[in-house]
Amino acid sequence: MGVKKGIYFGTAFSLLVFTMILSISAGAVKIPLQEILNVFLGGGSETSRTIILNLRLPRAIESAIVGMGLSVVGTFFQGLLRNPMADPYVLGVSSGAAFGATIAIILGFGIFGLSFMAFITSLMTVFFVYTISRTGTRVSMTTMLLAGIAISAFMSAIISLMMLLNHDEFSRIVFWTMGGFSLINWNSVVFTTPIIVIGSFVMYVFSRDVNAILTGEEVAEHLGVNTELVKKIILITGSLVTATAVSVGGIIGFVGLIVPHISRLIVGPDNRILVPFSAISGAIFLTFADLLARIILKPMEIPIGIITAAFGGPFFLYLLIKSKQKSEGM
Amino acid sequence: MRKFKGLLALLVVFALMFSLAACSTNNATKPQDTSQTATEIVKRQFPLKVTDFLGREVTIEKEPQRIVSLAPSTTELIYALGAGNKVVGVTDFDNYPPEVKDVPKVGGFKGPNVEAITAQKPDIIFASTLSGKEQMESLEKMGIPVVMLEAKDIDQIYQSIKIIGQITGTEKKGEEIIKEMQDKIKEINDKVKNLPKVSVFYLVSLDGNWTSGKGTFIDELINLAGGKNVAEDVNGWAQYSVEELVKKNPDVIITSPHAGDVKDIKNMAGYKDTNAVKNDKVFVISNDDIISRASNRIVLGLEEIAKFLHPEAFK
Repeated sequence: MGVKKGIYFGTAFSLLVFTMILSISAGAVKIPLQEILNVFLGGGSETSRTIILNLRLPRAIESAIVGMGLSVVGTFFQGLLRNPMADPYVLGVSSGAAFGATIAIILGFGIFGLSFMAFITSLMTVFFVYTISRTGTRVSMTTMLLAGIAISAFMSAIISLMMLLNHDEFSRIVFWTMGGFSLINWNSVVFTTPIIVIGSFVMYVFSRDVNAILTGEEVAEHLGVNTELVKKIILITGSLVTATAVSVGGIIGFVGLIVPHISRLIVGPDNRILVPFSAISGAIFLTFADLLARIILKPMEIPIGIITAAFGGPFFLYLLIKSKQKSEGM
Repeated sequence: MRKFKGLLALLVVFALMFSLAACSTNNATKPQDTSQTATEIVKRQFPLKVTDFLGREVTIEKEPQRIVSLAPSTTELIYALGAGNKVVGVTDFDNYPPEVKDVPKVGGFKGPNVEAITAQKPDIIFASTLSGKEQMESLEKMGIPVVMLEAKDIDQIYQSIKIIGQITGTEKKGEEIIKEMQDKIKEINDKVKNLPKVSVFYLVSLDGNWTSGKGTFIDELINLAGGKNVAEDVNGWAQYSVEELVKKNPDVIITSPHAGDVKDIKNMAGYKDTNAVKNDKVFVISNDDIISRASNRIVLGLEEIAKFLHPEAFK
């Protein structure tokens, strides 16, 4: 069994390295491999240097980091909320971010102000959802889920209204919500990487506790797990990670929903193994999706959400059917 | 019966061509008589058949007195033609000329409101592709003629002007407007046509790096203004690869007031390395309506772009 998991991890890790290399070597502009090597050795033309070092490299890293973060959050939220349809956006993070971004666009903020605003409003939304779901020290997961859905619907309505009243900024708001990494630069990588990596690691530390909570909160308490504290830490950290991802990439659906499921089908439900596997799979998936978004219709780019849904969905269905056949065969 | 109608239409068209020809010869010799002749012709031609941009033949029974316009560009043209006093309904997007502020709004960004349109009792509706097929069909069933106008280039703007002119009896004004536009375009094009072509990137929106490729008014205007659109390898509005932008290295970048902060554009990875940013040639168009709307104001957009690209020719 240990050997099998080792093979899974080995394969996944090699695949990640391969995808990253692919993502750096392919793009709208064709750059020969020799030239790419030259760039990394400090040579190459100015155009190649800009494209490789300032556009492709930060973009490949950012998509991997965001994919990782969203998948880890999805894995924990699905477990903690006991809902297979839970994703990182379930608590209203995305609609909160879109709300902030819409206000920022209407007020004419620049890119940095926009990201910052999206970040802050998404955290405020989650805090609101969290506060109304809390009774004393206990947090009701069902209430959180419902409150998240309600606040998302409410925020979307307000966003539509704001768009209606500000036609001129209509297109910018729509473009932002479609998500994507077309304008990622090193600043965004430097800002998001520590938050997402440390946040994911903090959640990972509680994998064993979450395993226990999954078998039942009472059981977990008996095993000495402070369930309320663990829930709080996971919810807050997960929201922080998601808000960070949204602030730079917009709302990228499907990754945090599907990657955890696929990973669970491959390595099983033990979070200590599932979480790192989800992290690597999410990084591969989103980096690859971004590569496709860049090259399928070059020199045009397509919103990454289209790719994640169009390729992730059918693949997920395939795995579901396969696993069903397997269990029926046994 | 149908055949007869077709024949009749053909006859009307011929009659119209002859009378127009007659009118224009009159025009040259006896200028005083023309306005009278024109109104007479207009009165005689109803029921009128026009072919709209979808190739459909629309029959208009009597001279329209109440017009609903479902495209800001069409509204601009109706006003320019002098028939603005007949407009009784426009969309939420209409903002020019300033008088349209007082005209009732009959549609927003989710399509026109059939109820609001009917309430205006229009004799005719000028629609666009954004008007909603189902809504337009239901209005036609109520007996309100719908004429579809959707100019994609400047030649088609002339065609829109001709159709609206024919329907509102303002052909003569229409001819004047077309002539003015053609003169302006020629004047600008003459100034820049022998100058070296300037490569241009038009940024629609920084979020997602959207641009306007081939088949857009902006692409056509850039060409007429003595430039070359670096994004002519994509069709219509598209998210453009920043990599490709770096490779094409445009001399000039033009944006609109809604595209995003110019400071952000200049600091963006990739953008930073273009000649346009290095030489401080990032321009903001004063108003994106004058470069994206199929109206006669498009020549103002052309002039502005030409001045961005070739300031030396406009001293």
